[in-house]
Amino acid sequence: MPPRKKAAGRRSSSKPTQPHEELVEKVEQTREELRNEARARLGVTGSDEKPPPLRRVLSTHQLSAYPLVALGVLAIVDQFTGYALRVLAPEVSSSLGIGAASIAAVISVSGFAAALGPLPVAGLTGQKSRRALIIIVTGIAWSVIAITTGFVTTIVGLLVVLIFDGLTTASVSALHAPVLMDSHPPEGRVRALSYYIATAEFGSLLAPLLVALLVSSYVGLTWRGVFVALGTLSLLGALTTIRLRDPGYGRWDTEQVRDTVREKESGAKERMEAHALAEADIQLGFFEIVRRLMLIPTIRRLLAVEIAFGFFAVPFDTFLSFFLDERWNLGPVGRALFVAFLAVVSVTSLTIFGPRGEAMFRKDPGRVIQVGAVLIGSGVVAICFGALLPTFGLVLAFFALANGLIAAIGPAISIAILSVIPSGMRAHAAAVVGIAVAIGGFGGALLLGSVDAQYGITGTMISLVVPGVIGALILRGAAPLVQQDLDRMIDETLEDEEIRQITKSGNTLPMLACRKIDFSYGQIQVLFDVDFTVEEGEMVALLGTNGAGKSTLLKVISGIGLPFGGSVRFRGADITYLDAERRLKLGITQIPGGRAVFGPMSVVENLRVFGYSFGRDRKTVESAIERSFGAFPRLDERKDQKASTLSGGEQQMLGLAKALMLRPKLLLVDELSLGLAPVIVGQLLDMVEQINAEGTAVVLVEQSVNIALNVVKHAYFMEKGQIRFDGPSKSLLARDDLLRAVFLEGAAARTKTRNS
Amino acid sequence: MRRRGRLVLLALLVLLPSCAVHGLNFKQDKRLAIISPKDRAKVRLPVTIRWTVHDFTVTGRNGEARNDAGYFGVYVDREPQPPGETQFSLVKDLPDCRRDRKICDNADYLAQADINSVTTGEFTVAQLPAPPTDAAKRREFHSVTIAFLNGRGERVGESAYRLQFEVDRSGTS
Repeated sequence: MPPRKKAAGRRSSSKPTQPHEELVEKVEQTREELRNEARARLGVTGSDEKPPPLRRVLSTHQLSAYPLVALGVLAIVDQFTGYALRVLAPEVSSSLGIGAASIAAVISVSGFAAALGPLPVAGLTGQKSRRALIIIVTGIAWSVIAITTGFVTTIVGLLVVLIFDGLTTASVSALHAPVLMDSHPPEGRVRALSYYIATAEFGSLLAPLLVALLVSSYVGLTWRGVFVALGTLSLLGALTTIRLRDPGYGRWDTEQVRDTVREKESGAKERMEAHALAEADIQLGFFEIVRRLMLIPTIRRLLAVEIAFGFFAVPFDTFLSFFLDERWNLGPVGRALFVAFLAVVSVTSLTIFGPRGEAMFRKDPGRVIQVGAVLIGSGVVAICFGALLPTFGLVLAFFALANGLIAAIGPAISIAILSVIPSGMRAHAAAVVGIAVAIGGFGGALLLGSVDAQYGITGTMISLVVPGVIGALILRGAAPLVQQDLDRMIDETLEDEEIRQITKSGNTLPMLACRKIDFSYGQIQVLFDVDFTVEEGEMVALLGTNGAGKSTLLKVISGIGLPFGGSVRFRGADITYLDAERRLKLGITQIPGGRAVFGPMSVVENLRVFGYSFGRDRKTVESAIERSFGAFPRLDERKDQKASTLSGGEQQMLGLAKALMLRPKLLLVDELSLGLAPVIVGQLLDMVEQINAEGTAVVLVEQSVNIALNVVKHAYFMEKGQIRFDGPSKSLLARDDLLRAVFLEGAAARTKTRNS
Repeated sequence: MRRRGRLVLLALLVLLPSCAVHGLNFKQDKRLAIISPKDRAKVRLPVTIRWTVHDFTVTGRNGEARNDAGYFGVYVDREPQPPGETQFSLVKDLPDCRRDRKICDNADYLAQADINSVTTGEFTVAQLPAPPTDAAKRREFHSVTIAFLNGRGERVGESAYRLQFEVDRSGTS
């Protein structure tokens, strides 16, 4: 909770059983201690100590390796259909009598479905513990789809099954890594991820071997037979996973961090009772989560890396075949063996990297990223050399080296992305990562296709070094961000748990609490570490010069702007990333500055628009409009007049009528007096005071000190994006150093005189 | 949830008519074997493709719809028609063919579109268009696909036999 620096003399109408300030001070004192403890619980011990073997980690916590095995099996079998289709496309084309271009188009559409599929899959989880169920159901579904593919006779049917396949296999990229994270304690996660990715790599080795075996003269299946056989195998694999259960969100991280507070505060690991606000009202929706993720610097940076990675890694698979074919005259069998050898190297590399990555992550999470950057950079340089070498043995050696180096960065990036976000958002993060790779892959295919036409296949392989090195540099830049964002995640979780504990112990919370808000417009930061609180039923003034950040702070509170740091809590609930529309339903209403009315619409139409939040309940809207007309008879007289033809004061009245209609719990009023005659301002302020007297808390943003300080007892003063004063309004009048800098000194003097 | 269910139902409705149970090949049909050239061999034009068959009687276009008798469709760098269709179905949407079927539904016209039919176990590819300049750097691969046609000229089943070869144009102007 935000500390009340220099604050004094708050109203005691909602006096808590223990003063907030005392609790806040206590929390501030122990925060670093809690953070260190939380880091240790997340496995970031800072020591060089070698982590115990994964088997011992699992047995210590009485865990089973089943989730790792089950997810590994699914990661293998999910590759069957995709690989079979790529390899057998000519046979499908000949047998159905469908042109190669049509088949290619269908494969592209299915790729598109696979890239976008993780988004609906992440949405399906709804942050509920049903990820395991979705994983099992989609595993069975894609297996049945693979079998069905063997019975398709038209291109439309092929399109439908491949779209289904793309959508169902999307559960692998969206849910497997998050479930693995929640199934393993922090000291074993990097290894669990490494072994899982190694298993998936083994799948990329097994799939071609199986296809080759099934179409060989020994078995002699057609493409239909191959799909039925692989689908059946996949189904058997999927059925072995039905004992998979959702481990619960954040069992080994978020909940562990919360425990540090629970133990400190009460010594008991009790669960929190209901929030003051209903959980459904404050739980972030799908797009709110995605937007929130994009505000995390590590995520933004790593998504850029994923785009760069997709740019070279996705086309690499395709161009490698052409390279081996044209430069080294390798036929399909030779190429398959080459790729299989690379897969073996990847599996070996991941197995070796797992324990080392684990140790690095424990010591310093950023170090894993730094090493990953070196690996990716070295890998693409090895590809570049490999493309130029004159003997096949050297080419094989260099490409294997490159593959081994690049394969090892997968767990590093995954662990970095998944560690810095709360567990409930990991499926969404994995989905966004998939899309980033697909975007990169699409761009890479287009650009490298042009390079190939101009410089040939060797030139294309060499040109892969450019996106690779760019990706490595971006990745390196992400290293220092990981620790910061990990700490931020810890702080957010700690704060949330502290609030729960405060509420549980019977203490009351401020109605609105903004803590350490940082906000920027693009690259320009305009709010710096802003703390701002409003008590229930309180009216506070937020003062400051033009451009100080007052209106921006209101936007952050009302949800029009999202901060990149800090939190906004409403009655204890974190609403920092909640949509503005949903905040309106919670009772937060903003009247924007500059007479924010819809000019071309009539007065009554404007009011109906304000009534939007009542939904389709016309009766309520009409009665609220009548109430507004009762309070502002002038508006009633002009109800059919266009809003743009009203005077400035009348337009502000119309804005205030919104507050009367919605009866908010917190009203944010921006620059009420701007350009209005003092008499009109007086009338409007009376109305604001009346709204406040009825129980609505009000934040009055003003440039005019004498207007604001006449009606409030508590004021904040902002300058250059920072809170420079927080205290009783009378004390602000004594702060000539602040007022002189920005306002006419006379304003303060006049007000003092009038008050005396 | 209901909307998702409707979408799945709609997809299934589209999918069901696009699937079949009968007349599908799950095991490879080995009645035809291409004997020369070898797959992915480097050849010079003209090149003759030869094959042998068993359990299939070559009768030519005699009007009978038997699965084990008829003749061969040979397709150069293109896919055969869907099972049960005649070779004409590959060109029926061309403007000339829409205007007058007689113009297209004959062996000479179809041959110009690389759609051929033979009653012997060989076919000669005399000419192939030279690749465009950009693609000239690439090795020049072509494919020939052979399918069974019945006595009415309809494709029999899903069997198709594909051969790839690389054209060597070195020394030619």
